[in-house]
Amino acid sequence: MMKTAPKLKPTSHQGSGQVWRLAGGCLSVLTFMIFLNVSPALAHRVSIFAWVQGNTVHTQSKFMGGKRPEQALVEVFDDTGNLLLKGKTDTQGLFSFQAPKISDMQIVLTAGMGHRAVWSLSKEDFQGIDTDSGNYPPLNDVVSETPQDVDPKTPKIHPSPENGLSATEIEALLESTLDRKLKPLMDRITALNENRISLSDILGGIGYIAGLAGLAAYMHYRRKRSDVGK
Amino acid sequence: MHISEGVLNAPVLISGAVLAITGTAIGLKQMDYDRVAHVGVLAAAFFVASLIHVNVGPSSAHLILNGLLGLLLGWAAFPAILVALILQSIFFQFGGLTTLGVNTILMALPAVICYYAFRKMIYGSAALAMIGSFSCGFVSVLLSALLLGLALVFTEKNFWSLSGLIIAANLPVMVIEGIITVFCVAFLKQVHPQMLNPEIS
Repeated sequence: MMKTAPKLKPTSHQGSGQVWRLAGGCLSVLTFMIFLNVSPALAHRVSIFAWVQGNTVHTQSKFMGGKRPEQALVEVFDDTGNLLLKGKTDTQGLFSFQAPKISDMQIVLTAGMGHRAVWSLSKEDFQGIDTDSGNYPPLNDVVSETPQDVDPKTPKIHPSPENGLSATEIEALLESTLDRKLKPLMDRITALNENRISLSDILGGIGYIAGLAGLAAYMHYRRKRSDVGK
Repeated sequence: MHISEGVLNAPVLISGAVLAITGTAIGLKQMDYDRVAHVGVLAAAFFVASLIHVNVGPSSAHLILNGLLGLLLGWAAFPAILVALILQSIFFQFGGLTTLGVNTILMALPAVICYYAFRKMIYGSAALAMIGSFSCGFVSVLLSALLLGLALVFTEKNFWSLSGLIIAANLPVMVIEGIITVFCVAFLKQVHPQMLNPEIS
């Protein structure tokens, strides 16, 4: 690879010590700057996250700095790669759509200047959803059937056909409650999905570079020494 | 300044990769292996710099430091930037492995151009060195922005409005990198002037 003889240059050892001190200083200043700046503001990768509620698909897009892409193109493809629909994100980076059919989906965000992100939804994400009507009976209707003036001594009502709750109504009730209860959890997952850069990633990268530089130097000097040996 | 996977078409990706390989080969050939530690340290600086976010105005841009790398490394900026970009795409998911070549060209080519354009000025009077190093930091990001526009023109059309947008978004970065380069050069001139010249050490 390197046929040319290495350029041998007089380097003073004093000088190289200074370089190392300088380099170490620069690196630690840079690392320090990052952690001053670490709040929500990091670099600028873009990400999109989608989840299903009822038969509506919600998507949330974000730059890693915490900025939301506005008016960015969102395209939805089915499992065979046909474009199902497209739309633009609002000022909060959100975009929601009614799923035209239940299938695997690829949701592609194009945020301009070379930024692009993909999120896949699988058929299973839509499971248990009645596509004919995405709407469930309003919660109040079901609850109001519970008599208000029941004697507190009477045992709790067990949901059964006898007290007027059919199986489908119970299911609907459960579904809507679960949707409500799981919302904070989904929000947490959205936040986790942003994939913040960790210190170990940064130090790992610096370590790799140091290792590669060391390896290059090792290979080079080993070759040089074997040349001298001949 | 990193182009994500799936944005560019194959011809752009392939020509980017070919150019990047060529540049890296030249860089490896020209690299003075007694100074391999400098290359490594500057590659690490480049790797970390992209995490420093410049939040001025509506833009979403980060430091690049390619001007400084070019000034201190010359052609060796190519392998340094390539390695740093590989690690950035693996650890931070910036850019992607298929766009590695294009991204290397985006950032390393301006570094080398600025090396040839401004390195003479660094040895001049204090004022000249200051102007030269500021221009080096500033112009290298400007050239990167133009190259980004050029790479995207095949998919997004409308080069001028797109490039204008990219340059506007990166203007704060250009100024900050200019200032950083001035400080680095002034510091190196005092502490270790040999480091500023890859040819004569």
